[in-house]
Amino acid sequence: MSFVYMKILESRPERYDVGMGLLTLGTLTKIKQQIADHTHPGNQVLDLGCGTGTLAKMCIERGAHVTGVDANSGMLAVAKKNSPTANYLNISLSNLDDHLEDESFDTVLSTLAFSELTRAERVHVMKQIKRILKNDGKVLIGDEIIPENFLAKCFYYAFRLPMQLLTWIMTQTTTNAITNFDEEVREAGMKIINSKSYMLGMFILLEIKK
Amino acid sequence: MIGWIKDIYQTLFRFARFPCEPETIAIGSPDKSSPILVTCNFDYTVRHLKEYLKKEALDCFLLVVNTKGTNVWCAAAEGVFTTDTVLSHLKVYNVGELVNHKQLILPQLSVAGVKRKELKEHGWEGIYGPVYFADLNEFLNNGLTKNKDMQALEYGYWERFKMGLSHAVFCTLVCIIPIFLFASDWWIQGIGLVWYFAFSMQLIEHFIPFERLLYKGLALSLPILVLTLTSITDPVLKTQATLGVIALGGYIGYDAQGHSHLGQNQKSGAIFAGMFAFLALVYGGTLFL
Repeated sequence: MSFVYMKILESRPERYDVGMGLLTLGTLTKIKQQIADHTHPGNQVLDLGCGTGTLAKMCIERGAHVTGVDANSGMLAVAKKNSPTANYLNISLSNLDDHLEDESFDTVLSTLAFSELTRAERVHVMKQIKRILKNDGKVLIGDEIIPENFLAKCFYYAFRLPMQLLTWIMTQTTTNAITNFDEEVREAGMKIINSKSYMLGMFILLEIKK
Repeated sequence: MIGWIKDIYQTLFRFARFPCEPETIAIGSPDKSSPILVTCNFDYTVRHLKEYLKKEALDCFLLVVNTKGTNVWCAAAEGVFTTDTVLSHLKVYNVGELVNHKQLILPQLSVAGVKRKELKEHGWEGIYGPVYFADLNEFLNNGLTKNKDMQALEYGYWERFKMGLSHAVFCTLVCIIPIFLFASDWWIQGIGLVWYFAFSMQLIEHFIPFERLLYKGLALSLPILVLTLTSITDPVLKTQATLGVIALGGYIGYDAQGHSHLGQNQKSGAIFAGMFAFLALVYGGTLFL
C-alpha cells in the first residue's frame, strides 16, 4: 500500500460509516434501524461484526444490553467512543466458542459481516449462533446479495462497480455479496422465517430462528 | 489463467489485494503425522508455494488462512494475520482432526502478528519456519531447525526491481491527472520522471547518504534539476518545471515508505506537508507572472 495514501486511510474506521452509507445509498442505515426495532429493554443482544458501533448504539437506546464482536481493533476503538456502555470482544467471528456461553443471547444481529466471510466460515458462525442463542431468540442478518432477477443483476453490476471503487478509495473496505445463504442457514440447523429485500434485491434482511 | 500472466499483473498492481479462497489443502498424500504449513491467502504466494511443495514431493497440509488477500509480511504488520486468524482457521476447518500432533509451521515473517505464546494457550505449538519457502524442504529434513541463511531476509536487486515496478505503476495512477492538469504539454516527460523516481527509490536509494526517504527523493531530483535549469530558457517555465521536479521527487521519496523494507516509522509527515504547501504557494505565484 502506498504510504501517502495509507496515511489518508489510517482514519478509515472513522470514514467507514460514510463510505458504507455511500455504497448502499443510505439503505444500510435503514436496515440497521429496522433491526434495532426488534430489540427490547433488557434484551441480551450480540452484534456480530459490530464495526463502529452504530447498530449497538441504536439497540442501547432501546434499552438492550449489547455485546459487540469485531476482529478489527481500529473499528472497536471507534465503537467504544460511539457506544461506551456496550461490551466488546476483539475476536474473529469464527472464535465465538471460546468466549460466549450457550443460550446466553435473546437476539443476535449482524450487518455486512457475513459477506466478509467465506462459505465455510459462515456455516461455522451460524452453528455457533445456534449454540449461544436462547431457544426463543432470533437472529437478524442484513447483508448484500446478488439479485436473482436478470435485469436487477445487470443493474447490480453496473451500479456496484463505480460505487465499489469510490468506497474502496474512501475506506479501503468493500463487501462481497453472498449467494445461497439459505442453504448455509439450513446446514447450521436453523431456518429463515422472514426475509425482506432492499435496493432491487441487492440487500436483504433475514429473520432466522432455531 | 496462465500463471506467468497472473505473476505480471500481481507484480505491477502489488499495492492492491489478490485473495484466493481460504482453505486447507492436502499436498501429496499426507497422513496423521504430516506437517501443517500455514500461509496467507495472497494468490501469488499460494500458487508458488503449492508449486514448490508439489515439485519437492512434500506430503503436508497447507492452511491458507484468510488475510483478505494480503501477503504474509504486510498482513502480519497490518494486524490481519494474527493468532486469532490462525485459531479461527483451525476451528472452521477442523484441522485438529487431520493430524495426531499440535505443531504448526508458520512463516517467519508472520512473527509480528502470530504469537507462539497465544497459540500455546490454545494447545498449539507454533514453529517459525524459514523466511523463504524455497528452504522448507531442508528445514523439514533438518528436524525443524533453521540455519543462519534460512533466517536472513534479503532485499536484493530483483526484489527491488519488482517493488520499483509496483511503486511506479501506483505513482503513475496518482500523478497522471495532476500531470495532465499542470503540464499537459510535458506529459511524457512527467510520466518518465515518475518512473525515474520510483525505480531510483528502490534500486539506488541505499547509495544516497540520507536516512529519511523524503530527503533521498529530493536528492534524486538534483540531476533532473540541473538538466531542467540548463535546458529551459523561459524563466516562468523554468520556475514551474523546478517546482514540479521537486514536488515529484519529494512525493515519491516520501511515499516509498509504503513500498520499502525500511518500515513506515519515519516521522516526515510534517516536513512533507510543509514542503508541499510551500511549493504550491510558489507555483500559485508564478501564475501571476
